Amino acid sequence: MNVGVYALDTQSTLNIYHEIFSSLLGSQKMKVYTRDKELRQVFKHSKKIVLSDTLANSTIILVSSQSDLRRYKKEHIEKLNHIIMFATDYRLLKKYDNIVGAFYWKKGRSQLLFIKHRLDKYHIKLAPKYRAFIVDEL
Amino acid sequence: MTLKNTKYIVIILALLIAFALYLQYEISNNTEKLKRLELDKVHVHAKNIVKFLKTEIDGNIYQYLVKHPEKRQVYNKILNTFMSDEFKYIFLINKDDKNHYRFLLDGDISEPVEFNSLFFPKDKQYNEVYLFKKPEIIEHKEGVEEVWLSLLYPIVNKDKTEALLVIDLSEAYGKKILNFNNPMQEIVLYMQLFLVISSIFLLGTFYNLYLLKKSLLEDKLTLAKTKMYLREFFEVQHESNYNFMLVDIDNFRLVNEKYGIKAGDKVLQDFVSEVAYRLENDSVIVRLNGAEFILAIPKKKGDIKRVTQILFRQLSEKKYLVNNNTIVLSLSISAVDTPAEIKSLLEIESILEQNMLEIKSSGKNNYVVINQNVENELRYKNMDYISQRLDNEELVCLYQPIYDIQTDKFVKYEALVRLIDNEQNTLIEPSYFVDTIRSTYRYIKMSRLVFKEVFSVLHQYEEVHLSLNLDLHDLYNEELMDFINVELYNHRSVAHRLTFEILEKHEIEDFAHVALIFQKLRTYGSKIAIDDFGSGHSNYLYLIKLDIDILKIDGTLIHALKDDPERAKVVLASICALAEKQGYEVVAEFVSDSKLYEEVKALGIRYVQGYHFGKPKAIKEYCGDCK
Repeated sequence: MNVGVYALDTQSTLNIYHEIFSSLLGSQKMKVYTRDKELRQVFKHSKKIVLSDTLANSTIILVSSQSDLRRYKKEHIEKLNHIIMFATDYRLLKKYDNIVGAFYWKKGRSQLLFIKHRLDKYHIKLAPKYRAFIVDEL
Repeated sequence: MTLKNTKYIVIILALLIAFALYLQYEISNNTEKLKRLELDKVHVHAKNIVKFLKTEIDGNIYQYLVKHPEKRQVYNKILNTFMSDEFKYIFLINKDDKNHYRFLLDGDISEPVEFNSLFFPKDKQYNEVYLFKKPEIIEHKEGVEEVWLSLLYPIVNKDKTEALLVIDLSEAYGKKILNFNNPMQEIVLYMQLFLVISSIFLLGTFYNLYLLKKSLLEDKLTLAKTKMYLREFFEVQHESNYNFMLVDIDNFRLVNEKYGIKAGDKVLQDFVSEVAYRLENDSVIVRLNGAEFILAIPKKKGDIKRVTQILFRQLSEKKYLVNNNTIVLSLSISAVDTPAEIKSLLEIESILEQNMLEIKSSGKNNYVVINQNVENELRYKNMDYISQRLDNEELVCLYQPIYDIQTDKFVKYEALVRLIDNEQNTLIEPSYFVDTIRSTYRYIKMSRLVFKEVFSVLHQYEEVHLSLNLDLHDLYNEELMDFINVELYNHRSVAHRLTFEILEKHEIEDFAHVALIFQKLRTYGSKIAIDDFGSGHSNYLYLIKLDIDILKIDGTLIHALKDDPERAKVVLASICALAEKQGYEVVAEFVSDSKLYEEVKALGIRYVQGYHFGKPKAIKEYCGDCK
């Protein structure tokens, strides 16, 4: 199964997200909340990533569309300041200051980036291999 | 399949394989060439785009696009015009002051990226092109299916890279180029497949051929070689480097009859093993048939006489265990010291067989080594050589006188045919060449020449009587007998002075036929003499069944007067008595000295022939004064 326009197969996608999430969460349990059906389907196959049915119970929120973002805003997600938000699109990352990073496909190439001050806000220290993808601003 | 054909097939197959490999190489080369040509085209496009942008934008590209946002869309559209099925993406990026790449322009207007948005290429070549300012083609290492190659083209201004133009070539385009030669590739593949199958088939055929050849070249029972092997062996080896032996186990049939075929086979196997052991590896042992073998022994093993002597002794002493009985084999060995001038194996076989016959007829269990005058013997027995002599009429008759004791005169001369060896200035006796030509038209030719000579002498010397040898075989040669009858008729005036001496090596079975021929020969007064009477098949039955005129007593009986005179005299006296009663003339042959002459004379034999009276010479030497 493939996810996204230029995405990889299920296992590769899972591996990438697993690595990103574990770097973001450290020792915290990977309880992911996403409204993206395709991604939920992918995460179902993971033994390490647990899908959360509610925002409150999750440790990371994966934002994949503008409508998701609007919905989260309605639900005052800003109050849940302990939950890390991660996007699947560059524009989402740009639009909402609480999203710490994004993984997406551009021109047939996978793109990963994190914003430094947002990571700092959550006191996140990424693994050295991700340091090249940390930017100060978009 | 002959060896020659096999060679051709292998050569053709090898050429086809080479051709297939050449095609494979050419196709691969051609694909690379095509790829290079297409990439050159991409370079040209990139160059044109960069040239356009440089013409349009004065100064730093990034700063210009920041200042003129309206132009971004214009340029994006222009980039879009270059996009096609071949070029998946065309975009322009630059590095910001923190060394992050950012999008400046994007030809994909359906889903354009935001100006100045971040871009993280994973390939190091982006930085290299940026740094070294040289365009580069890179391959995508990510699991991205739609992009085949990317051209990174630096836009350099004042020796500083301002931006990179990236042109992504689509996967479909790559497939199109790389698969362009696929039909040809497929043909070559099928060709290679065909060649592989053919090679396997050919290998199988060769293997079967090898097995077949092995079975034809090796005797299954004894593991000795076959005659075919010997022939092939001497296609590459020269016969003159080997001496040869023909070995026959005497009466081997009796071993089979007494102990059974299986036991006989075991004896043959043991015999071959023993010969192989005695001769070592460099000799060739060939089983001809039954219990007859040819051995080819390298000359370096030493004098053939000694080798034969030792081998004969060793093989004769060897004991074989057969059904709890020990037996020894009786052997006849005919060996030849091969002369350097030998031309073929057939000549050697002929000599060996001829000498084997002599061994067999003299009691078997013996060996003979031939080494003297073999060269001449071979030459004189050669059909081409004889034919040439006859064609050149290099033939002569010598005459040996027959002496009448009563009248003290030569009464007759026996004509003896000889071929002339002009090279060695010698005459060749019939024993060399007659058997070679007997069943051929050359024999008739020789007979014509002899008769021509004999009748010429008879016409020339009116008082001379001649005798002429006629083999029993000749009597069955219709063409020859017709010729003789015609000759007798043509020369009927002198035919009464001609005697036919009938010589035979085999027993007469059809006396009526022979009697009829004798009658025809006597039509014009010619006489019939039985040659070598008292030996071999010339027996008393002739005297009962045939009308003859003269008995020529065999030379061995005459020579017996020296070795065992008493008994010889009794036998010869009885022949003389018989001849007198029947009215036959009696001629004693081989009277070589005066003592024999006296003995013969005492027995009352009237006619004598032998070296004591004269050797075979030209007729002139005896009849210079004859009428």
